[in-house]
Amino acid sequence: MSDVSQNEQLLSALVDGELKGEDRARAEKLLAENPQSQSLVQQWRRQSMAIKSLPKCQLDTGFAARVMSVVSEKSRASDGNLKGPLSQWRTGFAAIITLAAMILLTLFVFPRAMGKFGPLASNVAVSPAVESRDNGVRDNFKSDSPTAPVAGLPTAEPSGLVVEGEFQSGSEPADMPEPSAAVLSNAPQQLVAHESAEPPSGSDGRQSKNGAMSRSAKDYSPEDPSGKLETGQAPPQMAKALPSSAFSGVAAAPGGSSAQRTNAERVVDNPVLADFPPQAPSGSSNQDAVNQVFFVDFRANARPLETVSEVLAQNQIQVIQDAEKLELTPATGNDESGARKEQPEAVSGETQSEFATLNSLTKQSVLGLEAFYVVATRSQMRQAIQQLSNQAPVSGYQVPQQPSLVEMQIDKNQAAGQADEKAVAPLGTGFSEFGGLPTSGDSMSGLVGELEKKQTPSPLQEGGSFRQNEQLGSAGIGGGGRGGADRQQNASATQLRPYESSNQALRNPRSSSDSSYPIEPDVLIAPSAADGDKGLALKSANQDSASRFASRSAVPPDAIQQNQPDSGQAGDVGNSAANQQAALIDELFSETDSDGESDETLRKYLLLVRTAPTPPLESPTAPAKNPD
Amino acid sequence: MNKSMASQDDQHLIRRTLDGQGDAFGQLICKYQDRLYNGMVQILRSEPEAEDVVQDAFVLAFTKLASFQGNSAFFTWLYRIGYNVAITRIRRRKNTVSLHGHKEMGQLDFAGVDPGPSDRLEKHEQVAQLQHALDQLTDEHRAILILREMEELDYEAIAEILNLPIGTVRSRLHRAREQLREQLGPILHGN
Repeated sequence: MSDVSQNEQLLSALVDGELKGEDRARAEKLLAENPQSQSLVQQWRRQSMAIKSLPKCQLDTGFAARVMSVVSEKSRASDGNLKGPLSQWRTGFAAIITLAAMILLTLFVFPRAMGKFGPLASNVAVSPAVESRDNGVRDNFKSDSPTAPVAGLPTAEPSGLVVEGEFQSGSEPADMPEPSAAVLSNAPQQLVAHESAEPPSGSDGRQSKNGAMSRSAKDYSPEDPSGKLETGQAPPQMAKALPSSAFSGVAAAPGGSSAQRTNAERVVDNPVLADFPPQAPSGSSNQDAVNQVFFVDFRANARPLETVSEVLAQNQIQVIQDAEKLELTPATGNDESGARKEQPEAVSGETQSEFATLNSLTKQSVLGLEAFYVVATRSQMRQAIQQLSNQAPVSGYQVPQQPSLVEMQIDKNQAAGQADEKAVAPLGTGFSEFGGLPTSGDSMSGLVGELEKKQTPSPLQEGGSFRQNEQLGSAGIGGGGRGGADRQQNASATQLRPYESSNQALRNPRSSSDSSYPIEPDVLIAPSAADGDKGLALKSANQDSASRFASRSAVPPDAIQQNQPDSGQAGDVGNSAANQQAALIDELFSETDSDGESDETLRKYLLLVRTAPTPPLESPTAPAKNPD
Repeated sequence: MNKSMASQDDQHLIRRTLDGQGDAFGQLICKYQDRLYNGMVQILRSEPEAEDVVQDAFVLAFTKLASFQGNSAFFTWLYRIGYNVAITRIRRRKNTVSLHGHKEMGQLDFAGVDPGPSDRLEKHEQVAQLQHALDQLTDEHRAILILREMEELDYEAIAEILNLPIGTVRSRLHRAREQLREQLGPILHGN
């Protein structure tokens, strides 16, 4: 900084009376000796007086009453989701009102919302198999046979996968609306909505503690007559475009901009959401888009669905819509020019097998990959993810073969034109895969990734660049810039290949027309057993950050071994590992860009969690119990 | 009332609110609504939006009141909430076609403006010029100037609200002043 500028800063602080000691003496001397400084200070003082003399605005006298009225409304509507003194204000009358509101919501609002898949893309295929979440559970509960779906964990056929893959690769039915952006190809896999557009018969939505809809095994009636799941039979007419109303009932209150709304209008439908509309990211015109996406145990380790709901409720996280079932499919890739290939990329046999297994389990409702749309603060999300990660996965649902682990790739590219050498291909939400996911449940295996939306336009609009990752253990800092020409591939020994990097649906859950709403993955805390390292590893687009994490993420292999559910000795080492994971998640949150927001600012999040129904089914790998 | 007494008064009202006496929070609203509103109007350049933000800020403050530690003045804490809400709105607004901005500021209906007939035009022009100059500043610079000049907050409070180091507050304030000086130029300074 130049001396002149420094001196002027001193003078500015002197005007504000913020200098003491030597600085003050120096500034006063400068002022006394320099006529220019005197003039400057005089002008600043004049400015200051002018600003102070600006006419003052006043709110009308009824403002305080209106605020208190909104507070009161919130108190009733949120039914406990608000912190603070509201809880002390609750009366029996308020409880009755709330109960009535919840019943009305259950009857009229949530069933409709549950039948829609707006947020996950308008071209996401809704497999007919979907109805099957209910039936699959029913079947599984009924089945003791070793040939039953649960017993077939490792060998399930990927028939459903093929159907979705074909669909995604361009065989959309004629009545399918223009895909318009929403290809769930954050890949190598795509997330495919795996639930019927209408609530499955016999599976009513159920109000969870936090007022959100939640379903579990209990909801799936054995008497459900809707038929069994037949994988691989997805007639085109069944592939439906997802309605773009994931946040139906949550959208901005009627009446246009907030400036045009009356206070009464501001609390329609859902006062909490109407009054606290978390902002869409900068650069997006989609006001209902999620701000961030979190993945918790994305691939294999499942948490009980009810546990997830409970954790969300405990943390007073408002669930807008939950329990959408997804499945993994291979993505179609880009060719070198960035154009989309017509055929899905070939995936390795191992990956395909894993996908097939996971999808099969998903269809059978043994596993779920659930999407929860929530409104929460970052603090609440951090706490919830900590708790989820500390929950032991449901045993018996692990894929009993060495699966490859999907890794969220990281892109920290900044605004267009500002990408530095580390900020690789924008939106390169490509995954890489690496082997060695611990196959048994352990509390260390929380896979927590974060996709962060950014303000930048999609690089896909600029040539579809992407980035590929390196093997776990070395920070995946790919080079590259925007556009296919700049693409760099940091290929590792394992199967790296170009995948279409945009997960349009996640990027733009509601409106597929808003292509300026990228979600970029940021960091990942992943378990890995690769190369004998069973510690946590973290990938980051930021080399320094990755190194920092890596240096602290080494968890002794024994930690995981000792933390196996079956080991029965999850002792200090396990606790230490859990603490380490907690620290990593904390750091993840502190490191990732919160968009300048306070941690207490309400935002919308998409939380993806691998779930399993409760009570857990008997592990297919567990020895059969002797009835005697 | 000095700062200390005001702070004690606020603490008392906060305690009463936490004890379930809703009227105490109503008093806090009445006490600070206009001050916060003025700041938000300047930051948002829109009266209706500012009103929304102030309302949201008070509701948020109410829901988070238990977490208020009293390490800073209640108004500083409240202002920070309001500022975050306002910034959120500004970001969102940037993504949309603006229906606000200058038009709304041009329609600002300032209470308490009652200049004499001879001064009315001159006063009106001065205010318009100053508002226009403030409009030309970046959001960051305008916000920090408002906090300092209008709210008369010290650097420490400004740093807390904007979540900045004090050194940054000092340098940013200087730049903001210089920007405004350039904008106002001969209008205010007569050269």
